[in-house]
Amino acid sequence: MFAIALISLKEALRKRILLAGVVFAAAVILTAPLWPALTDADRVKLIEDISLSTMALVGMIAAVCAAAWSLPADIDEKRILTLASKPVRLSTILLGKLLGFLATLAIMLLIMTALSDFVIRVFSTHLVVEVTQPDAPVMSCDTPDMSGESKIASAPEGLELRVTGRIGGYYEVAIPPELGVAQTTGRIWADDATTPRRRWLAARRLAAPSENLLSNTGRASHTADTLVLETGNTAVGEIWRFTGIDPAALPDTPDVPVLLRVPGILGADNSDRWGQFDQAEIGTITAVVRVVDTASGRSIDAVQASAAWQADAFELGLELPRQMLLGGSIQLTITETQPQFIHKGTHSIQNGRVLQWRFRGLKHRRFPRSNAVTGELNIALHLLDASLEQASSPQDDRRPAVTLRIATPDRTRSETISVPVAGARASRFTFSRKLIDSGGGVDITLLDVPEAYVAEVPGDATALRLVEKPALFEWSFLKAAAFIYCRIMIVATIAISASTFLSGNIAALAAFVICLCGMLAGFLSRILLIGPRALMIHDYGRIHGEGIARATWPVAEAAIRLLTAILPDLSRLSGKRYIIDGLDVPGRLLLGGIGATLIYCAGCLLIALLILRRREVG
Amino acid sequence: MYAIETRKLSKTYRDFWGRARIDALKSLDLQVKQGEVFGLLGPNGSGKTTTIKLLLGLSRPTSGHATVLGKPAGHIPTKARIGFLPEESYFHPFLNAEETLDFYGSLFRIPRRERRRRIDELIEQVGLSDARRRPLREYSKGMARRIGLAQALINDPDLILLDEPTSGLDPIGTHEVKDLVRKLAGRGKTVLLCSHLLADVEQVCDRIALLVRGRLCAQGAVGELLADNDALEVVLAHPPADALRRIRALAEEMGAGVERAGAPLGTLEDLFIRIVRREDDARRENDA
Repeated sequence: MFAIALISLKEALRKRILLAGVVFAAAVILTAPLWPALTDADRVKLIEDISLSTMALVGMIAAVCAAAWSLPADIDEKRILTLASKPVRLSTILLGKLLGFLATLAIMLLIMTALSDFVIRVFSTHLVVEVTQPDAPVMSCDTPDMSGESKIASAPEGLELRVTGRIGGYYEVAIPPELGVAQTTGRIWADDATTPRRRWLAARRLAAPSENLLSNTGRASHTADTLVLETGNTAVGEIWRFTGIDPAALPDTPDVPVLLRVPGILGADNSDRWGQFDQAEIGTITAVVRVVDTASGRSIDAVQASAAWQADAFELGLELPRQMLLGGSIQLTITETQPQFIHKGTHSIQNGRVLQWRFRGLKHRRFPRSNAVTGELNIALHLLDASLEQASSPQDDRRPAVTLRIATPDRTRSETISVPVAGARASRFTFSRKLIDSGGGVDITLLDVPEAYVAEVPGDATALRLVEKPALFEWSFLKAAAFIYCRIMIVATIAISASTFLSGNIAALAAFVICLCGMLAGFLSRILLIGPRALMIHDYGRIHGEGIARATWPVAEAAIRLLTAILPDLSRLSGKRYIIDGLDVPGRLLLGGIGATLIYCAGCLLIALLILRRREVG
Repeated sequence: MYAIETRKLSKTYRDFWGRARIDALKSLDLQVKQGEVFGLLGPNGSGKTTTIKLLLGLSRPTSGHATVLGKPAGHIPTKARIGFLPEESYFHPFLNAEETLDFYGSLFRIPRRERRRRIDELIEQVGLSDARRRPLREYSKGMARRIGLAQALINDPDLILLDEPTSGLDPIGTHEVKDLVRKLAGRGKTVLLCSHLLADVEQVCDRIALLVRGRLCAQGAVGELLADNDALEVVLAHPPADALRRIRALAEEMGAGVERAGAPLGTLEDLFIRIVRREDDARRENDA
């Protein structure tokens, strides 16, 4: 078998079409960095996306080309006569050929993987940590990209911030507690330096100053047949809660029309690019909205295309399952928007004692693919009290600790941690890598600092260094490549199995069709089971599992289930989402994929060998 | 025990719907003794190649039975003792002669060292020493036949099935193949030779069988089948000038007629080989 495998390997390697495939893949991967991307982090994600897609596509085409035509060519060109006259079984010839092709495809895939890893490394080696804002300890106005002046003053209706200069991405106003502000209205006027017009950016009102910036309360109201949900200005990823939904007022249909009114949306993915956009210029948006039923925890993603700007807000029409609303309360997040930047305005008003730095330009790719990233924060504290200085030795458990809040610049994610501080020594702390991934920068806010320190923190004594652990090889990327190899194995096995009873062209076509159907199996079953509404719902599996959607025609459902059971669901054999999200591909998932692949291939080969037993080659 | 024995061996090719299309072989009873060179003769489409495919297990008989070297046809371990040269030489075009023979040798699990020795020997034997590293796609038809012959012998087989071994070869090559067959027979190998070139078969085979449209029409020793007991042929060496007149007189005296008389004719093949070799010798002398 190995002699045949070796000859098949040579045959496949000397076929120009496979060489052409590798050259094509190399060209695509090498030019991937040239595609326009808004940020460096996006560029790396784009390269990863393009590389993995190219590897999968070229790999699967190569698998069909190598496997489908080989056995029929041997039979047509009568090489099989010489081969089968030797002491080898036809089954051995088939398995040997498959083994040889799989080895060839593994070599191809390794070349493409190494190339992709090289390109990704080249474009992810820049780590720029920029400290932009050591600020006044008591009252701060943080305008990250603003070169002009800012000024905070009291106004009759509250606190007023005037900004002159280039418009930054968002504004953050810290209200000192000693002011005793219970009700705050922020209103921002901005003179745009790039265009000579004055803009008034929407104000935001909070019922009370809140530490919890991660949840906002919106307004729910009922009209005759529609539930209207109104948010304030929101950023992508920001959570809005709506309570007081009256189950009795909901229309008596399985799906309830919902009108979501959003005055403005700020894209989060590219938060270190704060261009100026006007809603009127954008016209329409497409947004993905995640809705969570707070009573049951069920969630769906819904897409609504072409929501137009309606004078003062985007109005997104959704259809939500009635069952999700019966609990009287839902939570809603806009998770993606297209285009990315829709509106920027006043974003948050924070209360508390803050000392804030912003670190921007963090490249997620340079950090290990674990969920936790380790940082070191050097805080040189000038201590007034000699006795405190003595107490702050590293060996002393009583040494003071500061509480840090680490947040993405848009405040969609934050974590609060406590870090023991030892004078000017570096203090290590760990935070979630999501903070870097979603913003390209982090804000670090000192909360709850002992009094003796607060007064004397020198403005230039801060530095953040994130600890890098560059890996020799991206094992996670290799795992994603292993998923692709699983796909390739299935495709090659289907192609060579089909070629035992079909001609080469028909076998190749059959393999392509089966694999295409396999890629779309989940999607097809979704559409056939719940109709075109499936196009709007991403997270179908969970909904269906909980019995919201049911096929109206049980025979069709049975047929679809049979189809999805027979066809290989190749869409599940993918680690791309993990890679692009900067996460490690779970080993258990990969093992499951490999197991399923081996079982599927074994089944295909069993059928092929049974057919081959009846086959005459003479 | 016969090297090859078939009993009522029949093969009918069917179409996609299972309807009988061609009766390629009809109730063939054949016995090939060990160590003999057996010729299977017949016009195109007479069932020679089908017989070989059935003997190798590449096709299944519609009815009847065949044994090869004492085992049922298609028995995998027995194939290790069989060498087969198909009608046309079909090999991987991207391999060269050495790689091809190495590949087929490895299918017999011949140890690497032994394989190397046999490859060198066979390449020399079939006259491909100059082209051993050239890919087979560049080979002429005659060269491809030669490498085909070499692969059939890579396992030093006890039974050799040669399907049209001289097709595509020039007279020199044909002569060499016939010499090779004789040598193999001399080493006790059994050779089944299929051909429609009667002269080739006549010169090397001990026994022959004649197939016409799948049916066995004649079988026996070449001498027996060709002998004409109603005539007598005498070749005289150095005859005197009046020899012909005196023989005619003698024949008349015996009451027999003389059908043909004159100087004996050699074969065209002998003449061709003689002239080509003479030219080769002359060129070598000139070169020297």
